[in-house]
Amino acid sequence: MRDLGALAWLLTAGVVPSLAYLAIGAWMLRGMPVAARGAERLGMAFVVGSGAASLGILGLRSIDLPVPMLLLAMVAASLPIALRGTVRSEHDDAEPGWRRAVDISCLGAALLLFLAALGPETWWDGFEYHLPMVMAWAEGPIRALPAMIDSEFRAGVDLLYLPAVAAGEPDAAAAVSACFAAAIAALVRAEASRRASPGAGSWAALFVLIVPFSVDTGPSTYTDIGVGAFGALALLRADRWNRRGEPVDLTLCALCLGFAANAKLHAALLVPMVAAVLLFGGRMPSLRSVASRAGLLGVIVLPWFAKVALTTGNPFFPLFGEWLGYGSTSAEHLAAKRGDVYHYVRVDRTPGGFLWYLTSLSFGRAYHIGGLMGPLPLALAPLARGAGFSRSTRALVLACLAFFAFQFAAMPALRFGTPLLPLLAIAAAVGGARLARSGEAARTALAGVLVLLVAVDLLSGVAGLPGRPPGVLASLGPRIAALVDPLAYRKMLFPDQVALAEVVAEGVPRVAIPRGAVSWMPQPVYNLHWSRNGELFFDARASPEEAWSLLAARGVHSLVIDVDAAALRSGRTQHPIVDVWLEDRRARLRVDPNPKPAQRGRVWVLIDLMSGA
Amino acid sequence: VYLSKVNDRAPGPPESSPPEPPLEPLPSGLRRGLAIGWMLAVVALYLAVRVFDLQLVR
Repeated sequence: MRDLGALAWLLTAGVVPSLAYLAIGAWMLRGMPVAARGAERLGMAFVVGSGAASLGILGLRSIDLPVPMLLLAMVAASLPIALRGTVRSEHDDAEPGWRRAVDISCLGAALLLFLAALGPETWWDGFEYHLPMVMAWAEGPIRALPAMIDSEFRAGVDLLYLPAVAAGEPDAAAAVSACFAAAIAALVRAEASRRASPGAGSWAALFVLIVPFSVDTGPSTYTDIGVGAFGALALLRADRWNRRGEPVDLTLCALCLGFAANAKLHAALLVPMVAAVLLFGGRMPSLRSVASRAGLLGVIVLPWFAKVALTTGNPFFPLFGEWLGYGSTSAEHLAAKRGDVYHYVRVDRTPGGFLWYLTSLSFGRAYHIGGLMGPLPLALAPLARGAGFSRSTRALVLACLAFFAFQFAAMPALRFGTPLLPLLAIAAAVGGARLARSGEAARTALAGVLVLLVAVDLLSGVAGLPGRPPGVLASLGPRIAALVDPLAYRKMLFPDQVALAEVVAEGVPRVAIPRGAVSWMPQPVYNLHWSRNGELFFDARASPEEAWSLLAARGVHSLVIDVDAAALRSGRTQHPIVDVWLEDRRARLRVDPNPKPAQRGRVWVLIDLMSGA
Repeated sequence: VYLSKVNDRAPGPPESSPPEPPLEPLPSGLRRGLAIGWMLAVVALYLAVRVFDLQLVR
């Protein structure tokens, strides 16, 4: 249970880093002739500030310098000066009252998302590798983390979690994700206001915050929303250059492209995408202009190339491994991991499969995958067609379609296409505004649909109401309530992982676990799952000797695995490797008369590796 | 400082891609009817899936 002081520290660990990133961005924008004001400026400031802050954290932690909360608090304290004279937007007295109500609802939704993000990390990738690698880099310098393959990929957004983790509050790390969601909403609101109408902008921002995707991912340490914010801002600024010709937009575009690539390497595909928008958008920048921004982009991505070169020997890791090497990772594991991403959503790469995939984004039922986009992009964006767009908008739409097609072919899952989602929201706003101008009947139908969908997104799954996935209140409410007693919430969602942590506490370090909530474990553990360790298939694919020597090299002295309770009574685990070790007495079962429950009726068992594997 | 220098020395070429034209309403009664029908159909299907548990796609 957290007392009032602990709650205050949790809140501090969530708020202060985010405000510091906002302040850094506000100072950066102050040095540039950016016309944006109000919420849009705040959104832009958070996005560029967090990208720059991430590089700063990379630099500091690479030489083992701390990122103390006090330093961030001092940076955050400069925010009012950095924002002076730039935040207040011009108020329009002719604005309808309902727009203000929608804007206030946006603030409420963003606040709920932020508070829910302070709850315990209960998303699988979050507690299995996002947080554990940041924990390791908070305890020691940024370095290679053997048997943690994900730490060798770009982690620009992950590093933003480091101050909260270093302050002893890993639960507060995901506050950054919620802020990215709010920043995207602000960017969408502004752009949709310009392209459609102020009212459409506010509605679009509200749906950005309450659709299942944001509710699902916003309170977690998944980095996709951050990648989406960087990528979307890069695309919007490229489009703005085409329409206005202000050089600062090219600069912002280059900055955001670099930050996106630093966060996830596949986001580097945005570079050719933006190049196409500039090439065909009607205002080709001069060679000198392009060269200077390319230089800026190069400077921004260089630190991560250097980091990866130092920890794996291959600056392009995981690409070109056959020539430049794979570091401590095996080629087989990387190939299997690529296959995992390719099959993340099982879909045929055919026109029919494409249609199925498109449909599943709005109507799918798969947990964490289907139905996350909601119905509005599909219902309203097609209505924007034929509205007489500029050449730049046409170039932007074509580039987005190309990226979407690539994403479908290579890594089909909505969260890998996050840079496109804000643009889709803007397209839906344009279609909706067009419909609203098409007569009273259309306006009434649209208003009814929007209000109904807000109710569904808010109330699904509340107090016995039907609705899957659960809506804002049913999903975020329990997380906010869990701020006081996070362990009870963990137990409710993953009782097996809480039990696993209790068994791990009894093991001789270093303990190996099958996989799971690594960040909940009471001591550093070795993850036996191949997709996380990148070096060992702990199943029939590996020989007992091979597994033994690899675990010995990693200092593993005990392991916890889940076994069938009936099989355990005969002294065997039914695991092809562990049973061999038990037979030749290299391993010994620690018998617990009341073994702790794992999933599907199995139980956890602790096994000591006798000769110091 | 570097960023402001980069911005200062790269003036944009003259306007070549005009701003978006004003958003026009859907042109005909038929298209308006189709648009409303399409929107209502998509939303009804969504509600059937999310609220009434219809299994349309995985």
